[in-house]
Amino acid sequence: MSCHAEPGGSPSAAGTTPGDGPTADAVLLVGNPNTGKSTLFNALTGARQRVMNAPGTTVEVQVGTWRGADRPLMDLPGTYSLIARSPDEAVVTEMLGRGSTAIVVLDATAMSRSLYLLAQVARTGCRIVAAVTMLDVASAHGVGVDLPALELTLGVPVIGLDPRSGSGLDDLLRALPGRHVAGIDRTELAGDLADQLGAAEELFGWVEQVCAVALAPPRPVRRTRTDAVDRALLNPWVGGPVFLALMWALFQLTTTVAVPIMDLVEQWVSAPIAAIVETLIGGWAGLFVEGLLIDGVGAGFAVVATFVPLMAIIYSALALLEDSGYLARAAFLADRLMRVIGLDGRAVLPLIIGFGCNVPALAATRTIPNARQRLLTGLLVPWTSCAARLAVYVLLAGVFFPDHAGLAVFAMYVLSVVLVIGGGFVLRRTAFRDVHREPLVLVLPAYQRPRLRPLAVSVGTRVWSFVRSAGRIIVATLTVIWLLMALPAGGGHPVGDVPPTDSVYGRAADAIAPVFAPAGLDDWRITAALGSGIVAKEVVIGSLAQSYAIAEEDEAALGDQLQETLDRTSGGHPGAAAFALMVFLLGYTPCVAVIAEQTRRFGVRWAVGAAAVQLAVAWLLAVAVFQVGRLL
Amino acid sequence: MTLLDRVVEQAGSGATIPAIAGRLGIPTDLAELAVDELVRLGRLERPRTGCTACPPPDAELPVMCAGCPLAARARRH
Repeated sequence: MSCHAEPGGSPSAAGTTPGDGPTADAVLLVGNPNTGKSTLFNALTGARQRVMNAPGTTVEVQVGTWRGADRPLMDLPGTYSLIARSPDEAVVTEMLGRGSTAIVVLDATAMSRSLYLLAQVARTGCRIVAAVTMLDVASAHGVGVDLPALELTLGVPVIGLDPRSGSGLDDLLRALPGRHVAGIDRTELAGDLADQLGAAEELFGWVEQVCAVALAPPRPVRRTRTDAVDRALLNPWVGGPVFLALMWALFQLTTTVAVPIMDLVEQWVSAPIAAIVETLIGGWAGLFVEGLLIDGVGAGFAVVATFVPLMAIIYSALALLEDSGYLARAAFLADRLMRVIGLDGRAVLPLIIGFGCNVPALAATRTIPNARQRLLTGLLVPWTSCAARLAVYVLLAGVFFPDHAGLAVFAMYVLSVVLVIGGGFVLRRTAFRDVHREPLVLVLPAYQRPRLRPLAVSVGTRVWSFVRSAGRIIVATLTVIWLLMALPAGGGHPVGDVPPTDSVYGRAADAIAPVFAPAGLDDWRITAALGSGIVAKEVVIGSLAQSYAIAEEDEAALGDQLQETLDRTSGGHPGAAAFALMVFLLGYTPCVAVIAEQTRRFGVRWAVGAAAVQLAVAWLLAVAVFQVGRLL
Repeated sequence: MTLLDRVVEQAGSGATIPAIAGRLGIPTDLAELAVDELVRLGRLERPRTGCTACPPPDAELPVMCAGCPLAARARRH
C-alpha cells in the first residue's frame, strides 16, 4: 500500500474517478469508530454530500465537497487498524493507497488507539493533518492532552476542534495540505505475518514514545472484581476443582431436573398422537398404515419432543457459562492440560464445543493454523461426549444407578476427557510425531451478569434449530426402522404384522448381537439401537422404545424392559452391563453427520479409519468394563 | 522485550485487558489496541466458545459455525 497521488490535480465535485476510488485532490477523513468523524464530515461539507459504494464492494463511503477548500472530502469507514479484517477496513486501506492528504481524527479520550492508526496512515506516505476531538470529555475525565507538544513531536499540524460547535474548523482548513509525520517512513504494509508483526512492534514503540511526551502519565488501573476472582479461579489448585464441581452440578441438573420433565412431555405427546391417528384413520386404513403412523412417525415426534427440555437445559447452562465469562477461564485452565499432553492449546476450544455437538466442533478446528494439528484435533473430537449421548446416559443411569445417577453421568464425561487425552497422547507418539505445538494465548473477558433476554432468545433459537433439523433425521430414521421391522425376513408373516425377531431388522441385529456377548450386551434390540445410533445418537432411545413396544405388548416402562434384558444378557450383573453400554456409546463410531464432516475436511481414508478405530476401542473398553464390573 | 511481547506474556498468565494494562502500567486503550492487533496477527485469541445459538440469518457466520448443518439450516429459513 502506498500513497501514489500528489496534491494539485483537477478538482472533482464527486471526489472520485469512475470506479477507481478518490481523485488526487481528495482529502480522506480517517479515524477510529465513534470519534466524531462523521459529525466533522457533515460540518465541513454541509448539504454537499452523497453516498457511494467503494469500488468493487458494497461498503458505503460518504463523499462531499469541503466548503471553503473546494476540495472533495471522503468519509472513510471507522477502523482501528489498517491490518484489515473486514470489508470496511479493507476499503480504508485501499482508499488510503490512492489518496494524497488525510485528516486523521484523534479521540482525546483514547489517544493511544488513535495515534497507532495515525502512525499506520503515515506509513502510506499520505500528508496528514491531525484533528483532535473529544477534548472536553477527556478534560472532564482528567485526561490532559498537550496539543503543542503533540504537534512538535508528530511534525504535522494538530488541530483541537469540536465538530458539533464548529470550533477549530477554520484552523483545519488552514492546516491543509498537511505534512508527513516525523520519524515514520513510508513503507509497504503488505507482507507476511512476521513482517506485519515487526511493523506493529515498531509502531507501538513509537506510540509509547509520543504518549510519554504529549500525554499525562496514565492513572494506575484499579484492581477490579474480575481480577480478584481470577486470582482464585485461574489457580489450577482452586480453578480445577471449581471447574469439575460446576460440570458435576450441570450433570445433576440434566438428571434430577430434566428427567421428570422429559417423562411428562413423553406422556403429553405420545398418547395424543396415537389418539388423533386412531380417530382419523382407525378401522379403514389397515394395521400397516396405523402402525406406520403411530409407532413409526408418531414415535419419532414423541422422541423429538422429549429431547426439547434436555436440550434447552444444556444450551441454557452453556450460554450462562459463556455469557458470564467463565467458559473462557475453563478453556484457559484446560489449555495447560492440553500442553502437558502435547496438543495445541487451540484444540481446547473445539474440544469444549464438542461437548455440545461434534459437528460445529469439527468446524472450529479451522481456528488451528497448523494442518496436522487440525487433523489430530479433528480425530479426537468424536470422543467428546456430545449432548445427544447425554439422553441415553440419563436413561441408563436413572434405571441402573438410581441413587448415584448424577455421578454415573459425570463419570462418562470424565471418561470422555480421559479418552481425548489418552487418544491425543497415543497419536502424538505414533502417527503425529511430526506435529509441533503452537502457542495459544487467550485474552480473558471480564465477568458479567448474563442477560436473560438474549439468553432466552439464544436458547430458543438453538432448540428450534435442533427440532427442525435433527428432528427430521430422528423421525425419518425411526420411520425407516419401523418399516424394516414391518418387513418379514422370511415367509409366514404378512407385511406389517411380523414378530420383531422375524423381521429384517431383528434378524440383522440378531446376527450381530453375539459380538457384544463379552460386554454383557448380547441382545438384538440393543445391537439394533446402537446401529441406528450411527445415523444419529438422538435415535438410540427411540429405537429401543420402538423395539420393545413392538416386541412386547405389555406397557411396562422402557427402563423396566432394559433392566430385564440386561439382567438376562449379563448373567445377573445388569449394572456392569449398563455401564459397559454407556462406555460403548461414548466411544463408538460417531453419527453420520460427524463422519461426513470429517470426510469433507480430512478425506475419506481418515474418516473411515478413525470410525473403525473408535469402534474397536469402544468394544475393548466395554468388554473391559463389564468383565471387571461383574467381579466387583 | 517489546510492548507486544509483554502483552502476550501477561495474557499467557491469564488476564483481562484492564489487568494487562494495570500490570504493565499502560493506558487501557493501548492495552486493548495491542490485544486487538495481536488478534489480527494471530498471536492472541479472544475466546469464542460454546455452541449456544445459531447466528441471525443476516449476520456474518462465525468460523466455529462453518459447516454446521444447524447454522446452515437456520440461515435458509
